Amino acid sequence: MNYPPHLREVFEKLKNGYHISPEDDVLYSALNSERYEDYADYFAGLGITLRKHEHDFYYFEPEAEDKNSPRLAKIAVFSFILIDHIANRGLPVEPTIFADSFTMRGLPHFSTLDSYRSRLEQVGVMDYADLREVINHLKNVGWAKWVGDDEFRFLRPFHRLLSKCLELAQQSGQNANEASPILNQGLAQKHESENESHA
Amino acid sequence: MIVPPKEFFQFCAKHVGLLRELEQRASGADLSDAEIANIANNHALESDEQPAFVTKRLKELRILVSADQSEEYFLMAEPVRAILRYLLEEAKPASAETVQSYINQLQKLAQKLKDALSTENPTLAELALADTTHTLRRLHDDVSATHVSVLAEVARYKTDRRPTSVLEKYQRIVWWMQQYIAPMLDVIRVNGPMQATFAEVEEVLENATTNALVISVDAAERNLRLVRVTRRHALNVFEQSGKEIAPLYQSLARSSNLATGAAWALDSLRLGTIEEWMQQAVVGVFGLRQQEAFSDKAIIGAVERVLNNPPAPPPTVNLEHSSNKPAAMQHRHWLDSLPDEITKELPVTDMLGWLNARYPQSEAEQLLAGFSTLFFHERFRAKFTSEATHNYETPHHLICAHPVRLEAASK
Repeated sequence: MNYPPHLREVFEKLKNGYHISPEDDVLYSALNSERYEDYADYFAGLGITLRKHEHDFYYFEPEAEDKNSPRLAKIAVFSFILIDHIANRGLPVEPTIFADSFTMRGLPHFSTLDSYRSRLEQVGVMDYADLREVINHLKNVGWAKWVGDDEFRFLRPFHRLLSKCLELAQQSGQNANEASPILNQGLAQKHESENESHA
Repeated sequence: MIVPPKEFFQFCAKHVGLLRELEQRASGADLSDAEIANIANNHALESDEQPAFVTKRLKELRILVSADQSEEYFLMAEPVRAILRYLLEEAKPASAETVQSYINQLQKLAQKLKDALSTENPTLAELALADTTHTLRRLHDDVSATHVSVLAEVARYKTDRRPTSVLEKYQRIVWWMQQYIAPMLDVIRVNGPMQATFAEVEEVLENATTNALVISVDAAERNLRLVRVTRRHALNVFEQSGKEIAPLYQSLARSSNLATGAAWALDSLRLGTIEEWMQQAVVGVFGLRQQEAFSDKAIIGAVERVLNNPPAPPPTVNLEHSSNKPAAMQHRHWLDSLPDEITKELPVTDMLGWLNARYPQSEAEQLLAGFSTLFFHERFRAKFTSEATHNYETPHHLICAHPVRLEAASK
């Protein structure tokens, strides 16, 4: 069989939960090629589903049991707090997360609300050393990377957590309609009106 | 009392800060004499005039007009507010009710103009035409004001650094969409009342342009142009306002949803068990499970064992009945028979010699086994003689030993 290139390296990365994004030059290029289907077929033979996210990164589809990890719970709480804090400051969440880098000292987790601290303690994050460990977990799955001793930034695969937020918002029944029905209706009518006037 | 325009504009030019503060503080409502005096006092440093004089001039120039007969409360005159909004681009958007009132008014005026033309009444036709012009201008201006307001609101969002939550911003933008953008739908909707009214007005005006005896053709044509301009203007304003506000709306709606999801997840963690919460809120990440899986080394070892040990046929077991006794059994029987055999010939002076002579085909180990059986047997007594060593020859060995005498044991 003619195996696609870097198959072993790709597998070694993905099998540990890592997400391959444009940061991973060679492996990303290998997957983001016309041989993507070859990779997907090969892994399907092993009972593993290779996924390509709409924001252009690759990962193995997890199973239900893959949620039962204290590390993932820590990542979730850490991220939800950060998103909540950014929104409370009135900043646009996505641009702020992906455009800026964050310093450990600048994180709001232990310095703003007592409720943040309580949620963190529920999942066993007690101090800044634990926070650093959470960021290391984020790095290990390819969701973030260190850009200095005390500074890190989020990578594209962090969109998986943002997608979860949108899913939860829908579940809560308090989600906003992102595609404004007013504008859609208005523009559609405008075109209709223009066509009529041309006619 | 007529206000001299030159004095009015000179005063306004000199007191821009004062006028702005009066407008902002009142925000459309009235101000008391004391409040006006206080504001004038705050701006006294800007000019060399006394605050009391400035207050007096504000009233003389009808910038402030009495709200009622008591002369205690004053309103900023609407034309002054309008010019300030126009100059400072602080226009107020048109509400849905305002838009609807223009539609109703235009409809009535179109009917009146039609009636005046049919009855050939030039006075009523002229009045209806003038009011149509006025209404169209106000509609045009209000549409423009809406556009300016949307632009200002968008700019304010982009530059405002105050700590306002995303949710609050989103609620404000939704308010704007519903309060001011949505009414514009009525202006541009193909089958809506505004378009129908525009079409009706247009038709009446087109008819009017052919009736020079009743109406001024120039005025009718100007109105016709104004109707078309207002319609195009409304279309353009809506499109531009939509383009300005839609990305902001989408961005805020998305941020609001992300924040809602995050807050909801944190609250769920507070209220529920962590196990349930993990199933609901945690993002799963793939993990390869290797439980009870063979390592590569184990698999290679198994394959090598198969390769290095080719299969052999199983041993054949002879299941046929045979009369031959096994060699071990025959040997046992022979040993058991020896005591009886030798008893007949006791005493024997050379036991090994006797065995060797009697069983010449037996090997050395068999002879020695027989020798030890007899030597230690309870019925016999054995002892070495003083004779010299003898050589005893077996099929493959030569045994050299002193003779042993065997006799019956005494009872």
